[in-house]
Amino acid sequence: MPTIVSVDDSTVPGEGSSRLLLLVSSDNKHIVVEEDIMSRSRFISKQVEGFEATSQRHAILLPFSSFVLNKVIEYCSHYRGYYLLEDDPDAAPPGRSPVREWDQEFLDVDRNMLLRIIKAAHYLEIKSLVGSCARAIADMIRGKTTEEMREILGVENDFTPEEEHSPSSKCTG
Amino acid sequence: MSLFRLPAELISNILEYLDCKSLLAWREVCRGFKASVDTSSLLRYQIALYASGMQDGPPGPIAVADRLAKLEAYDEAWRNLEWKAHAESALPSTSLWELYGGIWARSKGRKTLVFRQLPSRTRGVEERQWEVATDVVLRDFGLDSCQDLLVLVEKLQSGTNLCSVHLRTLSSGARHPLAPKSGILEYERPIEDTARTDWSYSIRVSGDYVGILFLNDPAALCELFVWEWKTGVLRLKIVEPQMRSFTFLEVFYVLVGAIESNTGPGFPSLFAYDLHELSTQGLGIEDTPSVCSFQLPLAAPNRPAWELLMSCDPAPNWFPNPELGTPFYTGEDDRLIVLNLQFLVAPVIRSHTIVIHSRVLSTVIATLRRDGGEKVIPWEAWQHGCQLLPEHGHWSTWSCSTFGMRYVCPKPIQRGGVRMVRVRDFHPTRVNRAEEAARDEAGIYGLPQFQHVLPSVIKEVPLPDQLQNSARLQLMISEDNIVALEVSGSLAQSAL
Repeated sequence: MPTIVSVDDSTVPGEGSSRLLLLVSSDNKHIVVEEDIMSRSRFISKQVEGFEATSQRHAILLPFSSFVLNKVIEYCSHYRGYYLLEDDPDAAPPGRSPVREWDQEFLDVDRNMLLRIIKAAHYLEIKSLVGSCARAIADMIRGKTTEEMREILGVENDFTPEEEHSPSSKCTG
Repeated sequence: MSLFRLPAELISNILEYLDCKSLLAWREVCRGFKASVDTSSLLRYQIALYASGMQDGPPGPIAVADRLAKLEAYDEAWRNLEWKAHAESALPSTSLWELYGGIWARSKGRKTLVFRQLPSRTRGVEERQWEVATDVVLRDFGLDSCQDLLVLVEKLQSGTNLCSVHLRTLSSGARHPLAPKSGILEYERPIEDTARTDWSYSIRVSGDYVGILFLNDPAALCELFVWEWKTGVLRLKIVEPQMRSFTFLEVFYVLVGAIESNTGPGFPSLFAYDLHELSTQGLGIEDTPSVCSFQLPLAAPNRPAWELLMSCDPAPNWFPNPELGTPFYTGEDDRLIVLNLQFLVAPVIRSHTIVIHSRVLSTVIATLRRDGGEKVIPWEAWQHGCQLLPEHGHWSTWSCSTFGMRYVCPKPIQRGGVRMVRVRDFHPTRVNRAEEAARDEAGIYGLPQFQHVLPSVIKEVPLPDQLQNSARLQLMISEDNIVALEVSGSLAQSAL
């Protein structure tokens, strides 16, 4: 567990008026990032509101690796200043995220990485990224048979033989 | 890392992007996945819609969980065919009548129509009756509740050959607001025939199109007109003695049944016409440019067909009147086209009922459009999507024996002194779900060229007690009801 580090804004050179945040990953890497890049994350925004209320800024500890965190920061940097409906806390919750080409390329990663990113995005409450990841995962398994899905997702069949053949588990064909 | 570790919220997020078929496969992956689907009303509703071949209705006050419960009840009701209500009404023998889209309509006197919205217990549709008094002496009529359209064919005055079709609203009988200014489609009939009164009319509405087929005997002057009713433009006119019936197939195609054609040694055929192509010269069925023709089988060589009737409801892209607020309705993709093919085997008429999955014809047409190829489709090439039914019996021309993928045998079936209603369901996923015992997959019932079959599920239930002794019943089917027409002149309807 990394210790909480106090950060003094003035000691870190910033660009423009945006303040800086210190993020600490589970592998204890310290990553400095501009606050407005991360404002897409509801989780981070709430932390920042807390800082302002207490006039105390400190590092934000995150339960995932720097590898994943950097990927999320890359996403947030790409959409810096962009309005995405899903990330608007005041908008009505949208249904499915639209197809975004850049996201598709960005999420062209292996299965494990994709699962890590969606978990991180969920933790950070970045709904647009959760949506794009969910779409990407669905794309991997759409139209596949049950057996193929097990293989793709690395899931064991834990039904008993009786359950597997009972009509209630088989809905239709 | 496994998906197992993902929070339930994320799993349901992923499932939102899956189609129902994939959801069903997902559900069988493991216990955790099964639970992820089964605990969500929305996902269960989506699966249930897919499995029962229904489509979600317009957004409204009915919550998803409630829609799901209604859909399960609806499905159950059709599987078990238990009568939930019964109503009868008189039908004077001179009345014109029509059953379409859950509305029973009949004429009263020469100018008035009485409509009755048939109720649905499970879908929450209230019964409602209304009358429309028109200023038109009626010869026949057609209707389409989703467009509030009423098509009135005016009785021909003697001494004239100009006929009028009036486009009115179903709710009030006023000129339809989307119709051309005059509210009338006009057409000319050959003068020598205007004196006759024994015409049969077949009227169908499909989206922007109104089609009317005029039939008589002798058939020399059978004519088919298809208009774009909102502009009043005539799109198709065919004059053909062999023509017997028609229906709409998908949005832009008309399917015309002819008892004999030159495509083979007297084969009956279904001709498909594209409404994008204007053909209004009134040519014969073979001379009017068609997309293709589907050959039908003969009962025996050199024995031409005598009659070819067609039943297919509802029209492509049909949806229920939004005001009814139905939670769901019969899906767009699947329709049966049921043919009654009759042969004269002196001194009797033998009839064969052939059930066709509309998608088979659509697929052939799409392939032909893309790749080109032979325009005459021999029976062998498309019969895999058909079923020949063992239950025979003539229909009347106006039989409404099919709705969506269900078919009711028009005549009750005798089972040890009890008269039964037989309903066949041809919907692929509903057939797959049914228990083996109820399925009917074998079936080579008499036509020599028949090899393949479209599987169905059969359900038989006794006619309601009130109808056990009624003579000459004709059974019909709608989205929620079985309707029995007693030929002597009364109507009984049993709701699900």
